[in-house]
Amino acid sequence: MDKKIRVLVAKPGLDGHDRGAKVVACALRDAGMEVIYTGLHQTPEMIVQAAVEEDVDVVALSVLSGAHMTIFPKVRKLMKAQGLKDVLMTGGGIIPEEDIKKLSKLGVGRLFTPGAPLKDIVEYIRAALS
Amino acid sequence: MDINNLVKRIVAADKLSISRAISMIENNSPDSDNLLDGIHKYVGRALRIGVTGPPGVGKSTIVNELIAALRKRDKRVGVIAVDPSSIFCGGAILGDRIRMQKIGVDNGVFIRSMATRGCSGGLSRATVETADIIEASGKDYIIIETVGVGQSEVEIFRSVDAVVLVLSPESGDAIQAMKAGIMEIADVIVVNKADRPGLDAFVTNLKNTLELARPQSVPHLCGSSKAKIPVLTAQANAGIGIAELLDTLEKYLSGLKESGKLAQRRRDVLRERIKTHILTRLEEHLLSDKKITKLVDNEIGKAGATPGKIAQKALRVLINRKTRKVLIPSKKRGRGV
Amino acid sequence: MSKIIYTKEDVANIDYQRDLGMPGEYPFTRGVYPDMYRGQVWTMRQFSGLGTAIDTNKRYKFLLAKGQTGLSVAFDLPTIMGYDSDHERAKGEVGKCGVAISSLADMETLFSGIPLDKVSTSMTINAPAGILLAFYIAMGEKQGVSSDKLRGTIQNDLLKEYIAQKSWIFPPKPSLRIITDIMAYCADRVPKWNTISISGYHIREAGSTALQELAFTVADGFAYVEAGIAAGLDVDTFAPRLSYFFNAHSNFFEEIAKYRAARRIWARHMKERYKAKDQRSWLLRFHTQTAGCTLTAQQQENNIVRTAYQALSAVLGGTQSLHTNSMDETLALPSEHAVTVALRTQQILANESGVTESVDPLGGSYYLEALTNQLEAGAEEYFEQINKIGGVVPAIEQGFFQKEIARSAYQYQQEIESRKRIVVGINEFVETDAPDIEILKIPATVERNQCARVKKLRAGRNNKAVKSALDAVRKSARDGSNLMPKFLDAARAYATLGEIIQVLREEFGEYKEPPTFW
Repeated sequence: MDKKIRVLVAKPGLDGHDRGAKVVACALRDAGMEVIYTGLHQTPEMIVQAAVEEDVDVVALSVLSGAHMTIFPKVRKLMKAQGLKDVLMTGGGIIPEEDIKKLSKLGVGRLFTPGAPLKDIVEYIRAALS
Repeated sequence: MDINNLVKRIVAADKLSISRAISMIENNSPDSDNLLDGIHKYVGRALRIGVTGPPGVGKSTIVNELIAALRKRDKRVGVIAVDPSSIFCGGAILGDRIRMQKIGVDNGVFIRSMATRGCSGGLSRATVETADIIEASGKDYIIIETVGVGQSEVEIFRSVDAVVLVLSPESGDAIQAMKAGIMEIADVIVVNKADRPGLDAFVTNLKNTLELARPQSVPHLCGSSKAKIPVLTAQANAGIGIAELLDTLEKYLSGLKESGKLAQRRRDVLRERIKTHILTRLEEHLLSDKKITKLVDNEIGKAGATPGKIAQKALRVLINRKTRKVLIPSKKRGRGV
Repeated sequence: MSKIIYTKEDVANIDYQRDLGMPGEYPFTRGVYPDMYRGQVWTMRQFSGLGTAIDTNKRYKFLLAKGQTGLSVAFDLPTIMGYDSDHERAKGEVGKCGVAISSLADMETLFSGIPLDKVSTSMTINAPAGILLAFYIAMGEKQGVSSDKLRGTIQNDLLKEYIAQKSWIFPPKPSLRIITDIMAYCADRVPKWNTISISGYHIREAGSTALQELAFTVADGFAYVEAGIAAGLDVDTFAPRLSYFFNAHSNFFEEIAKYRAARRIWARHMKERYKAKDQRSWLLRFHTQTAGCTLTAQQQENNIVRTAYQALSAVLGGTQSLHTNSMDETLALPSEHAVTVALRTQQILANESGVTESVDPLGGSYYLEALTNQLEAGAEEYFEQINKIGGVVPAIEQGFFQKEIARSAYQYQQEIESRKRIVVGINEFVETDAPDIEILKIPATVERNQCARVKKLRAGRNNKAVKSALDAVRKSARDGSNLMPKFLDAARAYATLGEIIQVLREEFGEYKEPPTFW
C-alpha cells in the first residue's frame, strides 16, 4: 500500500453549517487523499484526540460561527501539547482578514474564506506537505 | 527509528506512538516487520470481534454502544473501522467516527479509521497487524468494523474470534446477495432497528434462510454442527439490546475458550498469516526481479513454450540465483524492496 | 436547462381556472390575496441579533426607526443548541452570530420599550422553540399583552434541521411531539401565532437546487400536517398557522416559478389529499430571504446588486415578508451601514420600482408558466420517491435528503471551478485589490457580561420554585401531556433555557446524524 495524505476534516463548536466542510472533504477525496470526517459539534479535545489516533498529516477546521478566535488557538495549543507540532493546521469559514493574520502568528496555516476555489485548497495541502 | 523505544511507548498505551506505528504498517514501512516482532509477546490475550453488514443498518452505532458497554465493564477497547477507497481516485472519506463518540475523550479507547486502498489481500494483513499494534497497548477487546461482504471482508473475518453480522428489517435484498458469503462465517446475528415495521417477518425469513445457507456440512464454530446461530434484536440508537449482544458474545467466546476451539482457531489464523507472509515475500520478489520478467517476455510466443514450461524455466532461474539472501533478510532489513 | 424560446405550445395544457386561477383563488398560483401589495406591501423584516440582549434591543430600535415593519430575532448558537451562555460548550460562541438569550430576563431586556401588541416578531429557533415562545408569552404577560394578541412566528421546523441546517438536539420522534404540543397549545391560546415556518432556506443554503428546495420543503410541510392529524388534531385547527420560508437565489425566473409552484402544490394537496375545508389551510404564505450562499467575500459591494435582483424575484413571486442580506455577511454580522443599505433596497423596490402595482405581473408568460409546471412535476416525482422510502423521517434516517443535497452542493462548486458557472469576482472579472469595508466586531466583553448576568440570575431567583417547575417538565415529558404550559411555568419561575433543555435531553436523548457524502 502507498503512503496517502490523511486529512482530518472537523466542524468544531455548535455551528451546523457543514456544506463547506463536506464539499472540501469530497474534493480532497477526489484528489486521492484519505479524509477522516468527524461530523458536527466537536470539542477541541475530541478533534485533537481524533487527529492523534488517525495519525493525520493535516487538521482542517470549518468555522462559520464567528468563534474562530476561540477555537483555532485552543486546538492549536492542544495539538502542540499532544505532540502534533508537525501536523499542518488549516481551515476556512467566515473569518476576517485581520483574524487570519493573528491566527497565522499562532502557527495556523492558510485559512480559506467563502469563494475559495477547491483546487487552491488541494494544491495548498500538497505543497505544504511536500 | 528506534523500534525498541517505540514498542515500549506502545505498550505504555501512548496514543501517538500507537497511531504512528499503525501508519508504518499501512504504508508498508521497511521497519514494520521488526516492529511486529517487537510487540509479538504483548499480543494474544485480547478478544477480537468482527462487525459487518450491509450499508445503513447501524453498524457504527452498534459498535459505539458496544464500546460504551465494554467500558462500563471496565474493559479497554480498540476499534478499526474499515471503509472502501474510491476506485477512481484512490481517496476515501472515512466517516465512522461520527457515530462513535458516545464515550468522548477516553484513554481506554483507541479508534482508527482505515481505507481499503484498493487491495484486498494486503488489506486483511494490514488490518490484522493494526489489531496487533492496538492490542499491544493493553486492550481487552479489538473490534473490527467493515462495510459490505466482499472477499476482503471475509478474509479479515477469518482472523477474528467472533463475527457479528448486523442486519435491519430492511435488509431482505441484502441477505439474498450474501447468502453464500458472510452468512457462513457469522457467529452472532443482530437485527438492528428493531422498531422498524416488518421485524417479525424478517426474523422468521432470516432463520429459514440460515437453515439453507448453513447446511450441516458447514460446522458452526461454537460447537456441534447442529448449533443454531443466535439471532438477536437491537435498537442501538436507544441502547436497547446491547447488553444482551455483549452477554451472548462473551458466553460464546468463553465456550470457545473452554472447548479449546479458540486456541485451535488462533493456531489456524497464525498458520494462515505465516503462509501469507511467505507468499507475499515471494510475490514481491518475483515482481521486482527484472531478469525473470525479461525471461518470461522472451519465452512467450516461442514455439512449444506453454505457460507451464515457461514457469518451470523461470523457477529454475529463481532458485539458481541464490535468492536466499534476498528472501530471508538479515535482521536489519525489513520487508519490501 | 431552459430552451432558447418559449411559445404558446409550452403552455398549451394549462387550464386557467384549474392551474392558475385569480389571485386569492384556488389553486393560488398567482398569489394568496386578491390585491396583494396593492392592499399591503410585504413586511420588511431584517433577521437580526448580536451580542447581548441590550445590544440587540438597540439594533431593533435602530431598524424600526429606519422604517422596518417587523422584527426577526437571530439567536446565537448556544441559544439555538439549548445551552446557557455560561455553559462550557458555549465558550467563544456567545453573542457571535446572534443574540444570547438564556432566560426570560434576557427576553425582557431584548424587547424593552418595544410594545408586543404593536409589532410582529419572527424567531429563528427550532429545537428549543417552545421554550423561547414561552419566554415571549411570559414577557407579554409582564407588558400586559395577553397571549391571544401576540403576533409572530417561531421557525420550529426540525425536519429541515436533520436535512440541512443541523442544529438539532433531540431525535426526530420527540421533536415532532414537541411540535405538535406547540401546535395544539397555540391553536387554543396564541391563535395569531405561526407555529411552524417550514423552511427551504437552509436546504438551499446547504447546496440544494431550486427543485430540491421546493420538493423537500413542501414534503416537510406534508409531514407536519400528517403529524398533527396523527396527534388527533383537526387539520383546519392548525394548518392555517403553518407558514413557509424560502430562499431567493440567483436564477431569477426559476425562483419566481418556484414560489408559484409551491403555492399551487400546497393548495392542491391540502384540499384534495388532506381534505382541509378551511380555505386558509390551503394558503401557502411565505417569508423570503435572499441567498446568503451567493454572497462573495470578494468585491463585497457587488453583493448589494445580487441581493436586489434576488429580492425582486421574491416580490414578483408574491412573498409575504422579506429579508435582504447585507453586503458584509461573508465576513461578519452586518454593520449598521450595511444593514441600512439592505433595508433601503427593499424600500426602493416597494416605493420606486412600480412592481407592487399589479398582482403577479409575470403570470401568463410562456416561459414562467412552463417553468412553474416543470417544477411542480419535478416536485411530485420527489414526493413519490420519498413515499417509497416510507416518508420524510425514514428518508432522513437513511440520509436520502442529505445525500441529494451533498451531491448538488458538490456539483455546484465543480461548475464554478470549471467555469461552467460564472460568479462575478470569483472566476471572472476578478480584482486583486478590492477595497476593504468596515466590519462589525463582537467584543470579548459580551461573553463575560452575559455569563455574569446568567450567574446572577441563578443566585437571585427562587430556586425551589425553579426545581418544581423543572420537575413538572420532566413529568410531562414522560407522561405525554402537553409540554407548553410547563415551559411557561418554568419560564415564569426564571428557569433558564439550558436547565429546561437539559431535562429534555435526559428524557429524550440526543440525535446523531448518519454520515452522508457524495
